[in-house]
Amino acid sequence: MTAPVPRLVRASDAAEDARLVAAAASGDRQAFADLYRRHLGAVYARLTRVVGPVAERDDLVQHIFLDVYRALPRFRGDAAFTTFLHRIVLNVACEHLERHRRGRSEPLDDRQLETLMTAGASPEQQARHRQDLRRLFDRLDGLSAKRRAAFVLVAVEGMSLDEAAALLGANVPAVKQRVLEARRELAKALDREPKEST
Amino acid sequence: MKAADRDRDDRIETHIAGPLRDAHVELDQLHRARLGSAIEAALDREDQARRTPAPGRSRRWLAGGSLALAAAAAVLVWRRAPPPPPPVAAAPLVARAPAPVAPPLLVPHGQAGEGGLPPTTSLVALAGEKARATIGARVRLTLVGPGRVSVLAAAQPGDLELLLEGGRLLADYDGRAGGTLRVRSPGAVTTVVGTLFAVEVTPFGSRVAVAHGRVRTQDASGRQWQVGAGTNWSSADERVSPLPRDLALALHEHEVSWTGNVPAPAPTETPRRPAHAPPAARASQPAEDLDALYARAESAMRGRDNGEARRLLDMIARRDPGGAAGEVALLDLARLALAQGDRATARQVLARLPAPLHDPALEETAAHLRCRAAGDADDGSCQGHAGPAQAR
Repeated sequence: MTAPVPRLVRASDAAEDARLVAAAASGDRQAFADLYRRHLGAVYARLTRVVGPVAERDDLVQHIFLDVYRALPRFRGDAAFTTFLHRIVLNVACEHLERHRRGRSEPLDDRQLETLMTAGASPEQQARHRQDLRRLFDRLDGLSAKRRAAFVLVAVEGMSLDEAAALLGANVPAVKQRVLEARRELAKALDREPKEST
Repeated sequence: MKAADRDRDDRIETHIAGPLRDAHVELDQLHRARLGSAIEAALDREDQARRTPAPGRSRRWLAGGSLALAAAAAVLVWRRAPPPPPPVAAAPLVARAPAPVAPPLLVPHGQAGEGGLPPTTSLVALAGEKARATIGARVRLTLVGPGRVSVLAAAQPGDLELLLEGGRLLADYDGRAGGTLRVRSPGAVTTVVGTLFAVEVTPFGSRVAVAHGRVRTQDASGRQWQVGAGTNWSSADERVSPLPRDLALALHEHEVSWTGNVPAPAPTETPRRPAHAPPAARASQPAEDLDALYARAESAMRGRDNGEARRLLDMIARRDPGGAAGEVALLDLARLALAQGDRATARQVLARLPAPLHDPALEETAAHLRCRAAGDADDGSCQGHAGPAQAR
C-alpha cells in the first residue's frame, strides 16, 4: 500500500496566509496573486483527484479562485485559510460532478489521461496505464458527488474523518457513512467487472 | 474489521485509491503560468465589473424611484447619502486600466490563402511544417513545427501575451503603439518592446534569439537577462552566446517571407565567442521611455528610414550613457554606418562605447564591429579576431 498523500499546506504557512489574506481583503491584488500562487498546485491536485483529468479542469481552477476573491471580504479568519479555500474547491468540484451526472459527460480522451502519467514508460506500459486510469474514473463516476469527494479525501488522501468533515461542511458520522457507502459501491463495481480487468 | 471487509478494502486500495494517489497531479511550470494568466484575466474582469454598475440595476433603481409617490418617501430618498462604493472600488486598483475581455486572435496566413483560415487563439505546426500568422498589425510570426503557440489574455490592455508549447517561434513585433509582447515558454518569460526575435522550445527549456534590437527574458527563478542583437540565451545553461547560423538564417527567412527584399545577414554578423549574460539592465532613464524610443528606432530601421533610425538611436545613446540600452543603440548606429560603407562614422560611434561595456554579452559584437570599421571585414579577418580585450 502506498503512503497517504501528504498534507497539502503546512501549518507553518498559516501565518503568511493570514498576512496575505488581510492584505488581499483590503484590495491588494498583488497579495491575492501571491496567495493564489502559493495554493495553485494544491488546489489543482485536489481538484484533479476529485473530478479527474476533465477538460474543464483549468476553467474550474479559475472559477475557484474567482470565488475565493469574491468571498475573501467575508472571510473572518475563524478557520485556517486553507480550510476556507478547500471548502470552495470541494464545492466547485461537487457542483461539476453533479452537473455531469445529470447530463451525459464526455468520456475522458487519451490526452487527458496522459496528463496523469509520468514519462519514461514504454508504449505498452503507457497503454495499460491509460486503460487502468480510464477504468478507475469510470468506477468513480458511478458514485454521487458527495460520496466521491468523501472517498477521495479519506481513502485516497488519507485525511481523518474530522478533517474531511470540516472541508465537506458535514458532520463526522455523515462523512463516515459516505466513505463506507462509496467503498461498498466501488466493491460492487469491481465485482461486476471481468476478472482480468481487476 | 471482518475478513470480507478487509478484502474489499484491499481491492479498492489496489485498483482505485492507490492508483489515484499515485497519479501525476502536479502542475508543470508552463501550465502554472497559463493558469496564472487566466486567473489574472478573470480577476481583472471581476474588478472591471465591480467598478461598472450593471445598467439593469440602475434602471430598476430609477423605476423604483418613480414609484415613490409619497413626498415624505421622496424626501427621504433624496436626503439619503449615495450608497458607498464597494470596498474594491476604493482601493488603488481603481487606477488600473481595464483588461481586455478576450485575448486577441491569431490570423493564419498560408497555403489556404489569406483569410482562408479562420482567426484562432492557437496556432499549430506539425513536424516539418511552418505556420504563419499575424496578430493585429503589430505581430507577424512564423511557427516552425512541431509546436503550438497560443494567445493568452494579457493583464494590461495593449499588451500581448503568447504561450509557446514546443517548436520555434520567429516573430517581429512593432511596439510603436506602446505595450509589450510577452512570450511564455518552458523556463523563460521573454518581454519584447519591438524587435525581430525567436523563441524556441528545446528539450532542456527555452532558447531566446535576437536578430535586431533586444529583449528581456526572465528565467524560472525570476532572474532577468538582456538578450541583444546577434546573440541568443538558453534557459538550460543560462548564458548568452552568439546567434547560431541556422537561427540567424531562420530569422532572416521569416523577415523576407513577410516583407521581402531584405538583405541576408552577413556571416560575420555572428559573434564567435560565448559570453556570460549580465543581470537586468540598469538603465539610467525610465525603462519605458527607452523601450518606447527603441521600438520607434526598430520600426524606422525596418522601414529603411535610416535618418529617423539614426536620430532615435542617437537620442537613446545620449539618454542612457553607459547603460545597456545606450550601448545597444550605439552598436546599431555603427551597423547602420557600416551598412552604408561609412567606416569613419562607425569608428566615431564605436569610440563612444564605455570601457568596459556595461553588458559583457555585447563585447564580442562590439569587437567585431570595430574590426569591420577598421576596414578588415572584406578579407574575412574579422571572423577570427582576437576578442574584445585585444580589439579595444
